Amino acid sequence: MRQHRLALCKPHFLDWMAAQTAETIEKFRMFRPGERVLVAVSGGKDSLSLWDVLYRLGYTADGLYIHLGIQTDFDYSGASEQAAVDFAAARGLNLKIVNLRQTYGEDIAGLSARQHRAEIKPCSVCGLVKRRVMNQAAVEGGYAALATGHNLDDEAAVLLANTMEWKSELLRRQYPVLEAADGFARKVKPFCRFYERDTAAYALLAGIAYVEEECPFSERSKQLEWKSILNRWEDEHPGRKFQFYINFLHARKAGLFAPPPAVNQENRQRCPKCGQPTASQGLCAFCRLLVEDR
Amino acid sequence: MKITVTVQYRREEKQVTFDHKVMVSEALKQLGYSTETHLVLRGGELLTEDTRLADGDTIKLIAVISGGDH
Repeated sequence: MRQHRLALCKPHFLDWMAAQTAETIEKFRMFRPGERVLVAVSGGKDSLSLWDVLYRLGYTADGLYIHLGIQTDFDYSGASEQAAVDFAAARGLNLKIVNLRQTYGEDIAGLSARQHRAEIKPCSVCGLVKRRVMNQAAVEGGYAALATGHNLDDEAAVLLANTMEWKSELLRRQYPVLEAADGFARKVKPFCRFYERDTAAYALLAGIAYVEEECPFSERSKQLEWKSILNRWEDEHPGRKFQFYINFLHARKAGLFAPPPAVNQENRQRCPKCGQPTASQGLCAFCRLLVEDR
Repeated sequence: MKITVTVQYRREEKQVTFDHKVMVSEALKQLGYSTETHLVLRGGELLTEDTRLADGDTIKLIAVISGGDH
Protein backbone atom coordinates (compact mmCIF):
# COMPACT_ATOMS: atom_id res chain seq x y z
CA MET A 1 0.00 0.00 0.00
CA ARG A 2 2.10 2.85 -1.37
CA GLN A 3 -0.24 5.48 0.05
CA HIS A 4 0.62 4.26 3.55
CA ARG A 5 4.19 3.10 2.77
CA LEU A 6 3.12 -0.19 4.25
CA ALA A 7 3.58 -3.79 3.10
CA LEU A 8 1.81 -6.57 4.99
CA CYS A 9 1.59 -10.34 4.78
CA LYS A 10 -1.81 -11.97 4.30
CA PRO A 11 -2.89 -12.43 7.95
CA HIS A 12 -1.68 -8.98 8.96
CA PHE A 13 -3.34 -7.37 5.93
CA LEU A 14 -6.69 -8.96 6.80
CA ASP A 15 -6.32 -7.83 10.42
CA TRP A 16 -5.26 -4.34 9.32
CA MET A 17 -8.35 -3.96 7.11
CA ALA A 18 -10.62 -5.00 9.98
CA ALA A 19 -8.88 -2.69 12.47
CA GLN A 20 -8.97 0.25 10.07
CA THR A 21 -12.68 -0.34 9.42
CA ALA A 22 -13.40 -0.43 13.15
CA GLU A 23 -11.44 2.81 13.55
CA THR A 24 -13.40 4.49 10.75
CA ILE A 25 -16.74 3.37 12.25
CA GLU A 26 -15.70 4.79 15.61
CA LYS A 27 -14.07 7.96 14.27
CA PHE A 28 -17.15 8.99 12.33
CA ARG A 29 -19.58 7.56 14.93
CA MET A 30 -21.30 5.46 12.29
CA PHE A 31 -22.96 2.92 14.60
CA ARG A 32 -22.30 1.17 17.88
CA PRO A 33 -21.78 -2.51 18.70
CA GLY A 34 -25.16 -4.18 19.19
CA GLU A 35 -26.97 -1.86 16.80
CA ARG A 36 -28.47 -3.47 13.71
CA VAL A 37 -26.89 -2.50 10.40
CA LEU A 38 -28.15 -3.17 6.89
CA VAL A 39 -25.37 -3.73 4.34
CA ALA A 40 -26.25 -3.06 0.72
CA VAL A 41 -24.57 -5.88 -1.20
CA SER A 42 -24.11 -6.00 -4.95
CA GLY A 43 -22.19 -9.27 -5.17
CA GLY A 44 -19.02 -7.32 -5.93
CA LYS A 45 -15.75 -7.06 -4.03
CA ASP A 46 -16.46 -3.91 -2.01
CA SER A 47 -19.83 -4.74 -0.50
CA LEU A 48 -19.09 -8.40 0.21
CA SER A 49 -15.74 -7.47 1.77
CA LEU A 50 -17.48 -4.87 3.92
CA TRP A 51 -20.09 -7.40 5.04
CA ASP A 52 -17.29 -9.88 5.81
CA VAL A 53 -15.33 -7.36 7.88
CA LEU A 54 -18.43 -6.31 9.84
CA TYR A 55 -19.20 -9.98 10.47
CA ARG A 56 -15.62 -10.62 11.66
CA LEU A 57 -15.80 -7.57 13.92
CA GLY A 58 -18.95 -8.95 15.52
CA TYR A 59 -21.44 -6.36 14.31
CA THR A 60 -25.05 -7.36 13.75
CA ALA A 61 -25.17 -6.89 10.00
CA ASP A 62 -27.90 -8.10 7.63
CA GLY A 63 -27.59 -7.87 3.86
CA LEU A 64 -29.81 -6.38 1.16
CA TYR A 65 -29.47 -7.45 -2.46
CA ILE A 66 -31.41 -5.64 -5.19
CA HIS A 67 -31.95 -7.77 -8.29
CA LEU A 68 -31.81 -5.15 -11.04
CA GLY A 69 -32.41 -7.52 -13.96
CA ILE A 70 -29.16 -6.63 -15.74
CA GLN A 71 -28.35 -9.21 -18.38
CA THR A 72 -26.51 -9.23 -21.69
CA ASP A 73 -24.72 -12.35 -22.93
CA PHE A 74 -23.94 -12.81 -19.25
CA ASP A 75 -26.60 -12.92 -16.52
CA TYR A 76 -24.92 -10.23 -14.43
CA SER A 77 -27.73 -9.80 -11.89
CA GLY A 78 -28.31 -13.54 -11.56
CA ALA A 79 -24.62 -14.22 -10.90
CA SER A 80 -24.43 -11.30 -8.47
CA GLU A 81 -27.45 -12.52 -6.53
CA GLN A 82 -25.97 -16.01 -6.33
CA ALA A 83 -22.69 -14.61 -4.97
CA ALA A 84 -24.60 -12.73 -2.26
CA VAL A 85 -26.75 -15.76 -1.43
CA ASP A 86 -23.72 -18.08 -1.19
CA PHE A 87 -21.82 -15.56 0.94
CA ALA A 88 -24.72 -15.21 3.41
CA ALA A 89 -25.37 -18.95 3.57
CA ALA A 90 -21.72 -19.76 4.31
CA ARG A 91 -21.77 -17.41 7.30
CA GLY A 92 -25.34 -17.92 8.48
CA LEU A 93 -26.21 -14.27 7.78
CA ASN A 94 -29.61 -12.80 6.89
CA LEU A 95 -30.03 -11.60 3.31
CA LYS A 96 -33.10 -9.75 2.05
CA ILE A 97 -33.61 -9.80 -1.71
CA VAL A 98 -35.68 -7.25 -3.63
CA ASN A 99 -36.34 -8.22 -7.24
CA LEU A 100 -37.06 -5.08 -9.22
CA ARG A 101 -39.18 -6.72 -11.93
CA GLN A 102 -41.19 -8.79 -9.47
CA THR A 103 -41.76 -5.84 -7.14
CA TYR A 104 -42.18 -2.95 -9.58
CA GLY A 105 -42.85 -4.69 -12.91
CA GLU A 106 -39.75 -3.38 -14.65
CA ASP A 107 -35.98 -3.90 -14.62
CA ILE A 108 -33.22 -1.28 -15.03
CA ALA A 109 -33.05 -1.56 -18.82
CA GLY A 110 -36.81 -1.08 -19.06
CA LEU A 111 -36.84 1.89 -16.73
CA SER A 112 -33.91 3.50 -18.57
CA ALA A 113 -35.61 3.01 -21.93
CA ARG A 114 -38.57 5.05 -20.72
CA GLN A 115 -36.47 8.15 -20.29
CA HIS A 116 -37.04 10.76 -22.96
CA ARG A 117 -33.92 12.75 -22.20
CA ALA A 118 -30.84 11.32 -23.88
CA GLU A 119 -28.52 12.56 -21.14
CA ILE A 120 -30.12 10.26 -18.58
CA LYS A 121 -27.93 7.16 -18.48
CA PRO A 122 -28.72 3.73 -17.00
CA CYS A 123 -26.31 4.45 -14.11
CA SER A 124 -28.36 7.50 -13.11
CA VAL A 125 -31.61 5.53 -13.18
CA CYS A 126 -29.95 2.65 -11.36
CA GLY A 127 -28.61 5.02 -8.68
CA LEU A 128 -32.06 6.52 -8.14
CA VAL A 129 -33.73 3.12 -7.89
CA LYS A 130 -31.11 1.66 -5.55
CA ARG A 131 -31.16 4.68 -3.23
CA ARG A 132 -34.92 4.46 -2.95
CA VAL A 133 -35.08 0.66 -2.38
CA MET A 134 -32.17 0.72 0.07
CA ASN A 135 -33.67 3.58 2.05
CA GLN A 136 -37.07 1.94 2.25
CA ALA A 137 -35.58 -1.37 3.40
CA ALA A 138 -33.45 0.31 6.07
CA VAL A 139 -36.28 2.48 7.40
CA GLU A 140 -38.92 -0.25 7.40
CA GLY A 141 -36.48 -2.73 8.89
CA GLY A 142 -35.68 -0.36 11.76
CA TYR A 143 -31.92 -0.48 11.15
CA ALA A 144 -29.58 1.96 12.91
CA ALA A 145 -27.69 2.53 9.66
CA LEU A 146 -27.50 1.57 6.01
CA ALA A 147 -23.89 0.69 5.14
CA THR A 148 -22.57 0.78 1.58
CA GLY A 149 -19.25 -0.44 0.22
CA HIS A 150 -18.13 2.89 -1.26
CA ASN A 151 -14.33 3.02 -1.20
CA LEU A 152 -11.86 5.90 -1.42
CA ASP A 153 -11.68 5.68 -5.22
CA ASP A 154 -15.46 6.07 -5.41
CA GLU A 155 -15.39 9.02 -3.04
CA ALA A 156 -12.41 10.69 -4.71
CA ALA A 157 -14.05 10.33 -8.14
CA VAL A 158 -17.25 11.96 -6.90
CA LEU A 159 -15.23 14.66 -5.19
CA LEU A 160 -13.27 15.40 -8.36
CA ALA A 161 -16.44 15.50 -10.47
CA ASN A 162 -18.25 17.80 -8.06
CA THR A 163 -15.19 20.05 -7.72
CA MET A 164 -14.65 20.34 -11.47
CA GLU A 165 -18.29 21.33 -11.87
CA TRP A 166 -18.46 23.35 -8.60
CA LYS A 167 -21.50 21.54 -7.32
CA SER A 168 -21.38 23.22 -3.94
CA GLU A 169 -24.44 21.55 -2.47
CA LEU A 170 -23.11 18.09 -3.34
CA LEU A 171 -19.65 19.00 -1.99
CA ARG A 172 -21.25 20.10 1.26
CA ARG A 173 -23.15 16.82 1.56
CA GLN A 174 -20.22 14.50 0.79
CA TYR A 175 -19.17 12.83 4.01
CA PRO A 176 -18.73 9.27 5.34
CA VAL A 177 -21.97 9.67 7.30
CA LEU A 178 -25.28 11.07 6.15
CA GLU A 179 -27.45 11.60 9.18
CA ALA A 180 -30.95 10.19 9.41
CA ALA A 181 -33.79 12.60 8.74
CA ASP A 182 -37.54 12.29 8.57
CA GLY A 183 -38.10 9.28 6.32
CA PHE A 184 -34.41 8.90 5.48
CA ALA A 185 -32.18 6.22 6.96
CA ARG A 186 -28.75 7.01 8.36
CA LYS A 187 -26.18 6.16 5.66
CA VAL A 188 -22.58 5.22 6.35
CA LYS A 189 -19.49 4.32 4.32
CA PRO A 190 -17.09 2.33 6.54
CA PHE A 191 -14.71 1.58 3.60
CA CYS A 192 -14.29 5.23 2.56
CA ARG A 193 -10.58 5.30 3.51
CA PHE A 194 -9.61 2.17 1.53
CA TYR A 195 -8.33 2.14 -2.02
CA GLU A 196 -10.34 0.01 -4.40
CA ARG A 197 -7.19 -2.03 -4.92
CA ASP A 198 -7.16 -2.87 -1.21
CA THR A 199 -10.80 -3.99 -1.05
CA ALA A 200 -10.15 -6.25 -4.06
CA ALA A 201 -7.05 -7.65 -2.37
CA TYR A 202 -9.06 -8.24 0.79
CA ALA A 203 -11.74 -10.16 -1.13
CA LEU A 204 -9.13 -12.33 -2.86
CA LEU A 205 -7.14 -13.01 0.32
CA ALA A 206 -10.24 -13.68 2.42
CA GLY A 207 -11.46 -16.18 -0.18
CA ILE A 208 -14.63 -14.26 -0.97
CA ALA A 209 -16.23 -15.46 -4.21
CA TYR A 210 -17.35 -12.16 -5.70
CA VAL A 211 -18.47 -11.34 -9.23
CA GLU A 212 -15.40 -10.08 -11.10
CA GLU A 213 -17.32 -9.02 -14.19
CA GLU A 214 -18.24 -5.39 -14.38
CA CYS A 215 -21.80 -4.20 -14.86
CA PRO A 216 -22.27 -4.00 -18.65
CA PHE A 217 -23.80 -0.54 -18.29
CA SER A 218 -20.78 0.86 -16.43
CA GLU A 219 -18.80 1.29 -19.67
CA ARG A 220 -20.88 4.42 -20.19
CA SER A 221 -20.32 5.62 -16.65
CA LYS A 222 -18.77 9.05 -16.17
CA GLN A 223 -17.36 7.85 -12.87
CA LEU A 224 -14.88 5.63 -14.72
CA GLU A 225 -13.50 8.67 -16.53
CA TRP A 226 -12.88 10.48 -13.24
CA LYS A 227 -11.28 7.36 -11.78
CA SER A 228 -9.02 7.05 -14.80
CA ILE A 229 -7.78 10.63 -14.33
CA LEU A 230 -7.14 10.02 -10.64
CA ASN A 231 -5.33 6.73 -11.27
CA ARG A 232 -3.00 8.30 -13.83
CA TRP A 233 -2.20 10.88 -11.18
CA GLU A 234 -1.74 8.16 -8.56
CA ASP A 235 0.63 6.22 -10.82
CA GLU A 236 2.93 9.26 -10.99
CA HIS A 237 2.50 10.34 -7.40
CA PRO A 238 1.54 7.50 -5.03
CA GLY A 239 -0.76 8.63 -2.25
CA ARG A 240 -2.33 11.55 -4.11
CA LYS A 241 -5.82 10.01 -4.21
CA PHE A 242 -5.67 9.45 -0.48
CA GLN A 243 -4.50 13.02 0.19
CA PHE A 244 -7.12 14.47 -2.15
CA TYR A 245 -10.00 12.85 -0.29
CA ILE A 246 -8.68 12.91 3.28
CA ASN A 247 -7.58 16.55 3.02
CA PHE A 248 -11.07 17.38 1.73
CA LEU A 249 -12.53 15.85 4.90
CA HIS A 250 -10.10 17.89 6.99
CA ALA A 251 -10.96 21.07 5.10
CA ARG A 252 -14.64 20.35 5.51
CA LYS A 253 -14.19 19.85 9.24
CA ALA A 254 -12.21 23.10 9.45
CA GLY A 255 -15.18 24.97 8.00
CA LEU A 256 -14.24 25.32 4.31
CA PHE A 257 -17.87 24.76 3.41
CA ALA A 258 -20.72 26.64 5.03
CA PRO A 259 -22.95 24.47 7.18
CA PRO A 260 -26.01 23.20 5.37
CA PRO A 261 -29.11 25.34 5.76
CA ALA A 262 -31.52 23.97 8.35
CA VAL A 263 -33.98 21.63 6.74
CA ASN A 264 -37.46 22.95 7.06
CA GLN A 265 -39.36 19.84 8.05
CA GLU A 266 -42.67 21.53 7.29
CA ASN A 267 -41.65 22.01 3.67
CA ARG A 268 -40.64 18.39 3.19
CA GLN A 269 -43.27 16.59 1.14
CA ARG A 270 -44.43 13.01 1.17
CA CYS A 271 -44.96 11.24 -2.12
CA PRO A 272 -48.73 10.65 -2.45
CA LYS A 273 -48.12 7.26 -4.08
CA CYS A 274 -45.40 5.61 -1.96
CA GLY A 275 -45.25 7.81 1.14
CA GLN A 276 -41.47 8.29 0.90
CA PRO A 277 -40.06 11.79 1.57
CA THR A 278 -39.47 14.00 -1.45
CA ALA A 279 -38.21 17.54 -1.98
CA SER A 280 -40.85 18.42 -4.53
CA GLN A 281 -44.63 18.40 -4.63
CA GLY A 282 -46.40 15.49 -6.29
CA LEU A 283 -44.84 12.14 -7.05
CA CYS A 284 -41.25 11.46 -5.97
CA ALA A 285 -38.58 10.88 -8.63
CA PHE A 286 -38.83 7.10 -8.21
CA CYS A 287 -42.60 6.99 -8.70
CA ARG A 288 -42.37 9.37 -11.66
CA LEU A 289 -39.92 6.90 -13.18
CA LEU A 290 -42.41 4.07 -12.77
CA VAL A 291 -45.36 5.91 -14.28
CA GLU A 292 -43.51 7.61 -17.15
CA ASP A 293 -44.85 6.65 -20.57
CA ARG A 294 -47.74 4.80 -19.04
CA MET B 1 16.87 -15.01 -20.86
CA LYS B 2 13.46 -14.67 -22.49
CA ILE B 3 10.44 -16.05 -20.66
CA THR B 4 6.96 -16.87 -21.90
CA VAL B 5 4.00 -16.35 -19.61
CA THR B 6 0.35 -17.27 -20.08
CA VAL B 7 -1.82 -14.27 -19.25
CA GLN B 8 -5.51 -14.71 -18.43
CA TYR B 9 -7.72 -11.64 -18.45
CA ARG B 10 -11.46 -11.21 -18.72
CA ARG B 11 -12.20 -14.73 -19.96
CA GLU B 12 -9.39 -14.52 -22.55
CA GLU B 13 -5.95 -16.11 -22.53
CA LYS B 14 -2.77 -15.32 -24.46
CA GLN B 15 0.96 -16.14 -24.44
CA VAL B 16 3.30 -13.22 -23.81
CA THR B 17 7.09 -13.28 -24.15
CA PHE B 18 9.27 -10.98 -22.05
CA ASP B 19 12.96 -10.27 -22.60
CA HIS B 20 13.93 -11.35 -19.11
CA LYS B 21 12.47 -12.52 -15.79
CA VAL B 22 10.29 -9.49 -15.22
CA MET B 23 8.72 -8.37 -11.98
CA VAL B 24 4.92 -8.15 -11.79
CA SER B 25 5.06 -4.33 -12.00
CA GLU B 26 7.20 -4.48 -15.18
CA ALA B 27 4.98 -7.13 -16.74
CA LEU B 28 1.86 -5.04 -16.15
CA LYS B 29 3.55 -1.98 -17.60
CA GLN B 30 4.64 -3.84 -20.72
CA LEU B 31 1.12 -5.21 -21.12
CA GLY B 32 -0.26 -1.68 -20.83
CA TYR B 33 -1.99 -2.06 -17.49
CA SER B 34 -1.59 0.03 -14.36
CA THR B 35 -0.55 -1.55 -11.08
CA GLU B 36 -3.05 0.78 -9.48
CA THR B 37 -5.98 -0.81 -11.26
CA HIS B 38 -4.90 -4.44 -11.60
CA LEU B 39 -3.93 -7.26 -9.26
CA VAL B 40 -2.10 -10.38 -10.37
CA LEU B 41 -2.70 -13.96 -9.25
CA ARG B 42 -0.46 -16.98 -9.84
CA GLY B 43 -1.85 -20.35 -8.85
CA GLY B 44 -4.56 -18.56 -6.89
CA GLU B 45 -1.98 -16.62 -4.85
CA LEU B 46 -1.95 -12.84 -4.91
CA LEU B 47 1.44 -11.55 -6.07
CA THR B 48 3.20 -8.43 -4.86
CA GLU B 49 4.54 -6.01 -7.45
CA ASP B 50 8.14 -7.05 -6.86
CA THR B 51 7.51 -10.77 -7.46
CA ARG B 52 9.52 -12.09 -10.42
CA LEU B 53 7.69 -14.13 -13.02
CA ALA B 54 9.26 -17.30 -14.37
CA ASP B 55 9.17 -19.03 -17.72
CA GLY B 56 5.98 -21.10 -18.04
CA ASP B 57 4.04 -19.17 -15.39
CA THR B 58 0.30 -18.69 -15.80
CA ILE B 59 -0.97 -15.47 -14.30
CA LYS B 60 -4.46 -14.05 -13.99
CA LEU B 61 -5.07 -10.30 -14.08
CA ILE B 62 -7.86 -8.92 -11.93
CA ALA B 63 -9.27 -5.48 -12.76
CA VAL B 64 -10.19 -3.73 -9.55
CA ILE B 65 -11.97 -0.64 -10.82
CA SER B 66 -15.72 -0.59 -10.83
CA GLY B 67 -17.92 2.19 -12.09
CA GLY B 68 -21.43 3.48 -11.74
CA ASP B 69 -23.10 6.50 -10.27
CA HIS B 70 -23.67 6.98 -6.57
